[in-house]
Amino acid sequence: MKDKYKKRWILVGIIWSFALAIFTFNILKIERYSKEKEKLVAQERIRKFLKKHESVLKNAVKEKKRLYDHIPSPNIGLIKVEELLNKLANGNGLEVTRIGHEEAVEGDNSINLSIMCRGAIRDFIKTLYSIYSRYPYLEINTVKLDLYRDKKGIFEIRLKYNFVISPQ
Amino acid sequence: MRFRAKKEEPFLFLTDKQLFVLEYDDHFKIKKDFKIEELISYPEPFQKELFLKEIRILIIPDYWVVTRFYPIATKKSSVVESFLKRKLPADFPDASDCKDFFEYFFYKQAEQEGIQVYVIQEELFYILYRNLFSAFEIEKITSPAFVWKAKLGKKIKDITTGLKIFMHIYQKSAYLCFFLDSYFLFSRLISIEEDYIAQLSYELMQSFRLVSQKTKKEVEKIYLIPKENSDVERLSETLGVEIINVSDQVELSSPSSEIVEKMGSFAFLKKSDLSDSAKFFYFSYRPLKELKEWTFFQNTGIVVGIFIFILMLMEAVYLNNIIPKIKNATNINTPVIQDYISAIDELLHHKEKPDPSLIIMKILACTSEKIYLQHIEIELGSPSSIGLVGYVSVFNVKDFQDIFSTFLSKIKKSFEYAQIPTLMDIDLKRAGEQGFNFKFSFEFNEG
Repeated sequence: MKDKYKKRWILVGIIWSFALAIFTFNILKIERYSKEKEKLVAQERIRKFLKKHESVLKNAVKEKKRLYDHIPSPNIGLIKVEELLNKLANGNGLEVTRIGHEEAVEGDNSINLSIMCRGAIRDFIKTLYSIYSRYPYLEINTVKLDLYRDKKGIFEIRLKYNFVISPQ
Repeated sequence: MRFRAKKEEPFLFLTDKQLFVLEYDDHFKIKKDFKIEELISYPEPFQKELFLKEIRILIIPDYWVVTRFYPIATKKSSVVESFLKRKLPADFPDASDCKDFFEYFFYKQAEQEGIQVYVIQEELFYILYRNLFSAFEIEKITSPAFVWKAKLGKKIKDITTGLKIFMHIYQKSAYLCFFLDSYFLFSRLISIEEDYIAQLSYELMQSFRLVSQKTKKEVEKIYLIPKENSDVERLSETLGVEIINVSDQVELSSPSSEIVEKMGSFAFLKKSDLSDSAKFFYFSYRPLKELKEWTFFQNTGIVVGIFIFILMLMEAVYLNNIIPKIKNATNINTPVIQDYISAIDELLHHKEKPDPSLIIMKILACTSEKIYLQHIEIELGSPSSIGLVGYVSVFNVKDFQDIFSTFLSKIKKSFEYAQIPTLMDIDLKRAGEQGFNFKFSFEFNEG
């Protein structure tokens, strides 16, 4: 007889344990739901922002492409850039004394380059401006000028050549 | 409120010699009978007969029930019950289990507050209950007198006040119940002869005397179910007490003489007299009653628990369904955003880098005839820096100060956000008689 009532208490305990367990489970779910909801709101804002500024962002992606030279291999890129720098310096009346570069490292998308030249300051400034404004994939890091009294000098530009390997 | 499945519910009718399993169909019928002596030593047939059956009511003989008045001031049930559990075994030393079979009600006797207690005082009953009945969780243990009192009480309101007698004359017996105020005093079963009026009158007079001595009260009325209609008049004449014929007011069944012989006056009762609505007095086995007091809380706990569990389960299902939907809804093209972010970062980084040709021109514009710059070093980064080495062609310090201060102020003007060193911080050296060498550097952040 007592067993029947004891069993009933056990049943009450089991039912309430299940209710409590599922309540806890739901609380955790609701917390997760709240987080997801916050994420959804944030993402909705992002989506609206993307929609509103789509053209600007696409333009940015396009602009970014200009920051990298699209080449089939680093060596070809180096040859191309060295020729370009030579041509620019010579074209502006500078005498290129040395062009050097670091070894290309596999997986890296940039190579450090340096160019040394001599000539008039004015010509050097023109060359520097050409590199800066026309070739965004050539990132100028250091510029050194040793100047003489006759407005001439020896110049060195250290720059980073940024590229992307893309089969042509 | 209790809900029960409609199934066969036999009643148990116990005498000191036999146990009857009763059924009701127009009137009580004996389904099975057991001899008590055999039942104690060999209970299996009884257990087999009632296996898986619900027995709610057990009828015991009236004389197994005794009453006792205890003067007690409190009306707190817990105090009264603990008092009775201590007091009853002391007052009924021969009734070992009396503390498990008692009921009480608050009662005022001779202007004294107290409790009227009914106790089942019968060792045979305890033995039978322990060995046979405890397995059935019998809800109500009562006696014929209590059932008759409830039945009469429905029709005759004044049975609950004063000293009253109920008498039922049937076949060869007369059943007498004595009630004082609302409680049952005792009952008698008298075997009657051919001319029973004189015999009954004598027996009643004996009982009147006994009761009057005990209760200090006189018998007020006799409620009679007569065998013959003339019984009322004849008894009234003999006894000198008001006798009321209640046979028209109470509905009786028509049992067979065999049943009446075995069960007495109780056989004339109807099934409805034993229903919950009949509200007759009954005992419950105390430990079972105490356990059953928790039944409400247990049932409530189970029902509320299941209800909450189902609600929670529904909520869980709902939550389980909506979270994936939200997840699907939030899927935006992350790689594209990453592309945009990296593009903007790189463009900003590129735009932050100042034009070195412009910097050189700004520096050269700050010089004058007397200042000759020998070396310029520009580091472009974040922040950018400029290092300058040069020569100022002047003879004295004062001129140098003037010219160089002008040069520094021009530099400061050209590089608005730069921290240009003061004259004190600049590395200066005399270069012979005609000039000074200088060397300094500064950082700047402008694009």
